[in-house]
Amino acid sequence: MKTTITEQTTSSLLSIIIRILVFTSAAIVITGGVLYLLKYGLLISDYSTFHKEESTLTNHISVFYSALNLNPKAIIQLGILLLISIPPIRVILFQILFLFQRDWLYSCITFFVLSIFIFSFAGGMH
Amino acid sequence: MLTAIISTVSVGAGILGSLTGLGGGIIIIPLLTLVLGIDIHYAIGASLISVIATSSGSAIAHSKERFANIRAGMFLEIAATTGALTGTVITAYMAPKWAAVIFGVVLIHSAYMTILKKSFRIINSSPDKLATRLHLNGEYPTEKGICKYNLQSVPGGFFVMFVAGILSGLLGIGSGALKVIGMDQMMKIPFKVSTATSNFMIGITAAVSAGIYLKRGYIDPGIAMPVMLGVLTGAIFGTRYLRKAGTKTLRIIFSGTIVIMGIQMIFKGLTGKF
Repeated sequence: MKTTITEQTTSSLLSIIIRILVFTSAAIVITGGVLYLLKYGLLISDYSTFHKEESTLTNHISVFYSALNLNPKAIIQLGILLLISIPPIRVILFQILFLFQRDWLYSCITFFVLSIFIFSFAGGMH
Repeated sequence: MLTAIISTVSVGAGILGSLTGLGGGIIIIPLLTLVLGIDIHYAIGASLISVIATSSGSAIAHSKERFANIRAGMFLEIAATTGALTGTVITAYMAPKWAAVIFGVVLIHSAYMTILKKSFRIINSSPDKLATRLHLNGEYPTEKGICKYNLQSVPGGFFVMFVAGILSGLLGIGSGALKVIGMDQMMKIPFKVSTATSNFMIGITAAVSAGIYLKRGYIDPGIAMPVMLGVLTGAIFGTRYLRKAGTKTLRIIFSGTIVIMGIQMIFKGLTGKF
């Protein structure tokens, strides 16, 4: 079993990186949230039927630009995008860790998981 | 107002999720659809966000990392992520209601099994060849010192994770319940390690589906925002108590929760609410 002191330390390092990402995405969502509530606060939204979300909010690039335009929904969505990217980033970090430890078996295993992510982002075009 | 209700429940979901290895999705979906009348598609999107938030929030507490068996989790995630992709494709063709019913039955059966388990467990069972070859065996900290454990039934566990992944992609849940059960019951992994590893895994599985569902327009900012913030808060605070909580208490909380979930799923599946 390869648990060593070094692994504990790198675990802490990963933990810090994740912490930064989580708080950043939360900060973005809070910002967007406050603006959203200020803008739409008392309106009652009808979520009882499903309308496909506006296309500006479903495409990565347009979310970014809408957010720059201070569209509250887009800012929230940007924070959400960042949140969704945290698990894949974690996997990448572990990939780097395993390579660093020369743990080839787990480098391959982790790479397999990463490739599923790539496949889902590339293929999810419908 | 809607925002306030959603955030409050999300905090609860986050706490529960981080302690039990669940993603909170199973609480979020019924709340949003049954109580608040929100369309199931938005609920699925929100649920995925909740799962990722639980997973990421739990990851923040350093002590949690020491319980989770990252290698086992990553290995099993091969099955789960593949399942999730499959699940998102199936959604286009199959009525989710039957998956819900089956899932509900499985949950209730598993709650029963979890409670029935003797509290004494053979920790040092003889090492399984495949598990050892794949470096899956591990250790975790207890009050008495480092405790080692060995895994069993690697192919069985792998298959359970694949099914869990399909359900995740299909229903928008993290399938944390099924993952914990698979690890605890089938692979004989200590309960606390199972819940911690599940927290690690569900984020990955959900993220695979989330990207696809975002593009399909299932994630609405107005709903996702309170869910994410509430769950994060709950998960961060819940994690701090994992080491102190007794395993037995956790098992009871876990089983109680999934029995309720199971009954709901069956009920809603049969009445066509899915």
